[in-house]
Amino acid sequence: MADLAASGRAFADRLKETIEAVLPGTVSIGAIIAQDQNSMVITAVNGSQSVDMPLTLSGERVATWRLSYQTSMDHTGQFLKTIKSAMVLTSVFEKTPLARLEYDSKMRTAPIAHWQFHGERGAFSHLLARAHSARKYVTDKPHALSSLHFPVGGERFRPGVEDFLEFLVRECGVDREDGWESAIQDGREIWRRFQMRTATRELQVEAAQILTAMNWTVSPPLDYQDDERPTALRQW
Amino acid sequence: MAPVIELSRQDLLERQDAILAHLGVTLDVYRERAATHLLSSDEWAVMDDLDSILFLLGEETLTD
Repeated sequence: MADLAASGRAFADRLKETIEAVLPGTVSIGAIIAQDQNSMVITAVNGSQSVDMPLTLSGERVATWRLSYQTSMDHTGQFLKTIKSAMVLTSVFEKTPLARLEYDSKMRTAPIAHWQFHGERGAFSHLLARAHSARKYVTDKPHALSSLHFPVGGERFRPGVEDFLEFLVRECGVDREDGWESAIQDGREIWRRFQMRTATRELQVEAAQILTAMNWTVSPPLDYQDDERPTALRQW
Repeated sequence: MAPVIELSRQDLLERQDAILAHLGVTLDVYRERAATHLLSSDEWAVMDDLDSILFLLGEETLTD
């Protein structure tokens, strides 16, 4: 059984290392644990409070971003599982976010991994208003584009924090550290390898077939039961 | 090494109460506004904090 706090520390340390290698300044990424629960939030902290992190252009603070992972140990007690995560970009001019990249494993109708944009577009609102009049499950707030959830790969192939950081640097043009790109690529590789391991555990027969086709010798354990239910591959 | 902050249920409830009192709304009202995309700018600013508290309390988190 892995220790929740130790797992949280390791995850927080890795996040801090990546963030500080990409964005100027230092951050404190901590693990907030509920004393009587198997639950933990990994986020930027100042003391015991969660905080936003600054984004600068030529040294001037122009925006903030927030990062949080709601986690617990998985059913095996070995791995830290993310239940929900949020990466939020906010301008210094107003507190309503500009955009959010979120993952919520409990989503049932909206895609569990998605972008939400806080903006207005008349033509889009027109489409949504017409759609809502015909189909009531379509948003009843057609003026609010933030009510739409743009799907991004589901549980297994969703973007990681490295993708959000690269969006901030490359698309939003915020200040960055020298060598930021390799730090992002290193972190992204770790993230995708973790996801690949999980996908392999979910699809053992398929993994074995591919390895066999590549001339590996693979045999199933004696107690293997072919009861794969790759739910994560079917949900949006 | 990353800091680990342990909070009691009482700590979490006090934080939640302080946030909601500052906004002048109840949790139910906040939930409804979040779900119907009617949060004010000040309410948006605390959404992640409130959601994290709810999660740590083992309660249903916010949706929008």
